[in-house]
Amino acid sequence: MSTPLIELQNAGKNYLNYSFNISIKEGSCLLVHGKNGSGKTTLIHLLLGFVKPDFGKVIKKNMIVNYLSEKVMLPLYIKVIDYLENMAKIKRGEVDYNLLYNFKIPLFKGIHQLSKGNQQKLALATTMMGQAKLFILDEPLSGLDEESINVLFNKIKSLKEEGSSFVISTHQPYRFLSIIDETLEL
Amino acid sequence: MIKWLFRHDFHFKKTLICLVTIWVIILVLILLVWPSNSMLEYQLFYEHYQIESKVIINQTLKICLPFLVLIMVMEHDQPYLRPLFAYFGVVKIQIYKYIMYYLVYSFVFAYLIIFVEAIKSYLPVVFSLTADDFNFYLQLYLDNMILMNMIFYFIRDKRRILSLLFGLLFYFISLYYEDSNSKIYYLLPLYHPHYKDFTFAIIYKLWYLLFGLCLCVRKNSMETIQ
Repeated sequence: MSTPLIELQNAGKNYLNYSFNISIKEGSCLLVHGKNGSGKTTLIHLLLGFVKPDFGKVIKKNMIVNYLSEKVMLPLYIKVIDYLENMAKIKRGEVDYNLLYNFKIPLFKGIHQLSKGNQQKLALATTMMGQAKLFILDEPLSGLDEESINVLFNKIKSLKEEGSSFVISTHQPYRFLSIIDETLEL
Repeated sequence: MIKWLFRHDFHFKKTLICLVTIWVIILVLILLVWPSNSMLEYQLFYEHYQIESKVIINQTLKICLPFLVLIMVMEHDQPYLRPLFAYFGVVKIQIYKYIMYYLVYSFVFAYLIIFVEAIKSYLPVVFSLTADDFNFYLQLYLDNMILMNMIFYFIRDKRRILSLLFGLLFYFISLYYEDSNSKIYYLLPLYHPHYKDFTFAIIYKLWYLLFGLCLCVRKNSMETIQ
C-alpha cells in the first residue's frame, strides 16, 4: 500500500463547522465539490500549508506541489513564450509545446493581451510543468471551452499514469467522472 | 530565481518609471545647485557656497530617495508568486525576493551617487569625497534599506498605497532629527546629525536591518496566504 503524500487528521478552522480527515495517496485523484463557502478553498490552503489549522494535524511528505489558484495569477507585462521558458527554467522542467499547441495559446502575445480563457490555459500549462508529485487545482475549468477541457483531461490522465496525484476543487463534479478516484462533498 | 523575479517584477513600465524618477532627482539636483551668480562672487563666498551646495544635495537626496525606493518596492507582494510558494516554499521565494530588491536598490543607489558626484565636479567650487560624505552616503543607503524592510513587513498587495505613509514618516522624522537630539533615534535609527559620528551608529543600524529582515522572514513563514 502506498504511503499518503498528505494526511489531514481532524484538521480544520474555527470558522468551519467540521474538520477534515483526508489522506491523499500517490497516483490518486480526489475531487472536492460543494456549495459556495463550504470550505473547498480552505481545504486546499490547508493542504498547501498556506493556512495553519486551528485544530487537528496536517502531515505532509517533503515534496514539490504544483498549485493552480482559483483566480488566475500571472505576471501581466511579459510575453507568453518568455514566461513559459522562464518558468520551465526555474522549475527545472520542460515547456510542453504539444499541450500549448492543443490549447491554442498565442505564444507571442503579452499576457495582458490574452483573454480570460487563454490566461487560464496558460496558468494550467505552467502548473503542469516541473517535477511535482502532487497537483492541486482550484477550479481548473473556469473559462475553458469544451475542446480545451478535453485537452486538460488527457493531460491529467497521462500525468496520473506517470504516478502523479491530483486534488481538484470544482463546481462541476460530473465533468470529472472519467478521471477521479475519490469524491469529497462539503 | 533572482533573475526570474527581476524580469517579472521590473517589467518595462516599472523600469521606465524608476528611470524617469532617477532622472527627475538628478535634474532637481542640477537645477538647485547650478551656478547662477558670477564667478567672482563664488570665489568671494567660496566656503559658504561649498557648504550650501553640499547641504542642498544631501537634503534633496534624503527627501527624494525614499520615494524612489517606494516606487521600486511598493509592489513587492505580487499575486503571481503564490503558485511558486506552493512549489518552492514561501520562505525560499521571499528570501530570493528580498535579495533581488536589495541588489536592485544597491545598483540604483550607486548609479545615483555617481551622478551626484559628477554634478559636484561641474560646480565652481571643488568638492573632494571626504570620509564625512562617505559616512553620509552609507547612512543614507542603510536608511532606505530600513524603509524597504518596513514595506516588506507591513505592506501587502491590497494595501500598497499605504507605503506612501512610510515615505512621509521617513521625511518628517528626518526633519525632526535635524533640530533635536532625540532618543527616538534608538527606535528608528535614521541619519541623525548628532549620532552620525558615533562609533557604533553603523553597527547599530546594520543590526537593526538584520533584525528587521529576520522579522520579515518570520512573518512570511507564519502568515496566512490569501
